[in-house]
Amino acid sequence: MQPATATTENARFSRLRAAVGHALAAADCLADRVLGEASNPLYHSGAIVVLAFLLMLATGVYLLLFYRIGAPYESVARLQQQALAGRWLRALHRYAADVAVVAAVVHALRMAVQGRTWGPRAQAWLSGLLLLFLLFASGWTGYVMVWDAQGLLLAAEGARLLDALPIFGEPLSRAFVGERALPGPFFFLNLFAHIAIPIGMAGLLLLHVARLARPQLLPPRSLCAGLCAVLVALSLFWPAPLAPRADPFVRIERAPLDLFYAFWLPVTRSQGRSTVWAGFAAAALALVALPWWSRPRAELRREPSSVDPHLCTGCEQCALDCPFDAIEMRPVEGRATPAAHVEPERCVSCGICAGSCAPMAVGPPGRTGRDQLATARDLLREHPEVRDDVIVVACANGVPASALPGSRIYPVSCAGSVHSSVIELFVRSGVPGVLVASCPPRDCRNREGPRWLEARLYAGREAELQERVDRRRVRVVSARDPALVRAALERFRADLADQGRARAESEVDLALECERAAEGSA
Amino acid sequence: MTRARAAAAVALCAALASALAFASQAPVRIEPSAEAAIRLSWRARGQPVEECRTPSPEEQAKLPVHMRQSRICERQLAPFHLEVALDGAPVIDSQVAPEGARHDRPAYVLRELRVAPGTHRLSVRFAPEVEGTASLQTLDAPLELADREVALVTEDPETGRLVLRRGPAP
Repeated sequence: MQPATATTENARFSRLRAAVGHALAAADCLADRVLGEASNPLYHSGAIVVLAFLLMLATGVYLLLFYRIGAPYESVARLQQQALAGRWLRALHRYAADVAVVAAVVHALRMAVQGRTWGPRAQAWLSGLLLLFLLFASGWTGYVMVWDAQGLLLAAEGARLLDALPIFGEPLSRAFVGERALPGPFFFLNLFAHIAIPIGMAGLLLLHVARLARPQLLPPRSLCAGLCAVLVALSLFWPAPLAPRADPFVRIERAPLDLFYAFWLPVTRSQGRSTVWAGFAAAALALVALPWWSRPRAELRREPSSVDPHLCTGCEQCALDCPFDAIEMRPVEGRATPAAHVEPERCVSCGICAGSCAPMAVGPPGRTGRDQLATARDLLREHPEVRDDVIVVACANGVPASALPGSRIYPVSCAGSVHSSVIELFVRSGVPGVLVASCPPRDCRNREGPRWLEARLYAGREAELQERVDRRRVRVVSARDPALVRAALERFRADLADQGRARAESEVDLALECERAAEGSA
Repeated sequence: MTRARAAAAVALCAALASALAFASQAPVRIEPSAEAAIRLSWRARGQPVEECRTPSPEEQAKLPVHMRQSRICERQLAPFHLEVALDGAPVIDSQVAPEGARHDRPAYVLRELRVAPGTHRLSVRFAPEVEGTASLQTLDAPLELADREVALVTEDPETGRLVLRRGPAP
């Protein structure tokens, strides 16, 4: 069967991407099996950062009530003695901050591995990196606030590194050697930064999701509740420790470090400042340059969608379905209805508009509804044997075709881009059944492919699967785990066997307004 | 959800939560050795040193009329010389230059010496590298350091002399 999609893997980046991708896929499969696809936290990593942020905000307000900039360590020690609230709320504040780092790193890894960093997505990638940096900066100020051994270590090492930059008249490190008591303004400024940085992050979050339609800022309720319950239980049974008070007159032998925020400390302390800055700069440069470094070669890049204004009826469905707000309706001179217009700089060429357009007027070049129908007809004509078994319409980002040996595969770039007419054509041509294998809905690289697919097949959403199509012969499976897809395929085959052989129509007249319109335009 | 799957979910959540809590307070060894330390930290403003010269007619001609000067003076501060000896053996012998691109900012001493715990004799000599100056600072004191203890040599803000401190400023 001819593939409907072309790979966009870039040889320069593909090996590393594949290795990390395999590890993430294995973790996805494990979490899917144990926690269920809907509650898999790996699929909600970005939203979990926001949830953790809200937890930090709620607990931080309480902690702020008791914090004293004139006696930072003593005020935190008093909080630590509040067994009913202060102790576990402080622990919850810390664990939420740790979860935020873990989720943000997982989120960034997923985006990088899935190639969602370049082109129209570069803005989200770069703003996400800035958010991650601000998260670390905010955490740094939070630990300095406590002014225990870890706080002193972080402050002294931060000052040592900043002293290497030719921007301060007086070495900052002198403030932490014990020459004089730390001035009150230091803790005031630190507290101010600890509050101001998260406020800035909230604003930056809006920029981060600015190019998304219907951004999902929070995980599903079940996951929210589960995560909060786990963190509260952890805070109650494993409270955060309070290290000894910061003392510059003692060399610290051992300290409880939060490795999520101070992971760099043991490394940088033994290195020269130039080496550390060079390492930081190299890491930052690599991350910032990732969209350019990892993008496919020009000849492999998919072109954005385009609209045939003669076919567009102005129904607005493509604009409603586009997950990236890349389509807007514009008035057309000489006609009463507007026509769709694709903003090329926002379009990621996901093809979801092709599946949403009943008249097949919009879609990426080579992947419009008309192109899909032509490919499907060629397949039926050139390989009549496909009518003997279930055809698997396989999402390129879901389970790989190699994981379904012996199956009839009709590959598509995204399950959400499949036009319902293609499924109708297969069923009415005598194919026993059509199984659409999509990626899990919350892990769709195009955000809403499985969601719109289900709505079109089963809920009558515009560009719907016609009622005349026998629904018993159409099934959708959304999974990352190949074993689950194989099991669904076997179940589907068994169910179809009970229904008897499919009836093939000799001349399938799809009777679609789209085809007629297409003929008319031709 | 089957009972086995629920148990697996609880076990997975407990394992991940425990890993999170452990990594959040991992007991990291910061300073493996029991060495003590002597820290030197103070600020000193050097004596101004001015070098003046008369620019040549060619130099003057290259400048706009309003920027021509009969004398060009470059003012900077003199560097210091720091000598530290521990138990009679020199451990630091170096120049401390004033900060700033033009060396017109104060000089800062910020050093740390690792020493074995026990009794020592510390000698510090800090003087401007300008001949004939009398602003010499010295410190010569016995010192007993416990494991991991840090002693600080700094300037007394009231007397302006180098002093040895073993704890926070009063």
